[in-house]
Amino acid sequence: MISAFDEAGIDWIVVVPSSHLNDLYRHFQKSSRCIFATREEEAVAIASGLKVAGAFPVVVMQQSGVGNALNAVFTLSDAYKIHFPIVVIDRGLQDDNPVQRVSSRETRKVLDAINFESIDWDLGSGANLLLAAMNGLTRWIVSGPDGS
Amino acid sequence: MKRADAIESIVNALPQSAVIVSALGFISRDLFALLPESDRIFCCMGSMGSVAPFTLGLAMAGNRKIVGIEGDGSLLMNLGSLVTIKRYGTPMLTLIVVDNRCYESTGGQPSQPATLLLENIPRSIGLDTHVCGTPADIEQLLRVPMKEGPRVIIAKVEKQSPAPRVGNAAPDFAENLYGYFQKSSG
Repeated sequence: MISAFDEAGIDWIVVVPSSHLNDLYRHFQKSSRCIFATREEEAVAIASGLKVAGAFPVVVMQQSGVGNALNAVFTLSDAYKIHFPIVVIDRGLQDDNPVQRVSSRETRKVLDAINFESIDWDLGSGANLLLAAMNGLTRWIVSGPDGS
Repeated sequence: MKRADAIESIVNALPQSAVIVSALGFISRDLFALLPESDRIFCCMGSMGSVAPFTLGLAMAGNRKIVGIEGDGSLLMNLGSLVTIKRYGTPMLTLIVVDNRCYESTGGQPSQPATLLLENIPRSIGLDTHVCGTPADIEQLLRVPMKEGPRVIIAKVEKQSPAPRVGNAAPDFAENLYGYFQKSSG
């Protein structure tokens, strides 16, 4: 995942922390380019500002944050055609937290409705997908907690 | 003071290179009426609660003074963004909250309890916070260069009828502002 981000030239990530991604956060924290937002909607708005100012940001969230993000996605990023990827880590239907299992099930329906791309970060096409999203060809990129 | 006078004083006090973001509803209508041809403004027509973080994103990647004009109701929707501004904010960022204590664009419903002073919230977070009651207050404050930042200004305004709607200009704001950053960088 980290090499895909680097290959795509991502220079900022805006995140609400998810389990499993500490290596990614640390990678961008080394250059002070990891912004921790208090809410996913806020992360989307920050990334929108970064993009308009000329940067190449990615928002990274857990699937439970998708609902929190939608108003800013629809009425700021989409409405004004501000393109950048939103990477979603889906904890999945086998998660040990029953509430997260419900979140995964219901959020998948939402993601289906607004279109997303699945990614296995280990298979090497991550950079292309991030670039496609940065250019407006897609937005939501979804993987499981293990990166696939 | 009247909201339109407050917004006009903001525009008059800022340097020509400043970028201004405005919140949905009457605030964006008033700003757009003053600067309809400008490529350095961004008028939100939705995304309530997003002006403060959007402005922060512009300030963190841009290299110039950025001013966000929030409404009190919009700020309250994403209050956590004040903490994020405290955490990452720069001297290039000024957040002005036009505080009329209500959701004026939807009929004037109160946004706050009567005992709340909105300025106490950014102050308690440790942000450099000022209260302005007149257009002259705003102009005087904005003409002072910030040494440390960011800065929050609470502009106390009364209800007032707005300028006409922004309309279909909305989709161009991002493209225009992006172009402004590109041509004026470096």
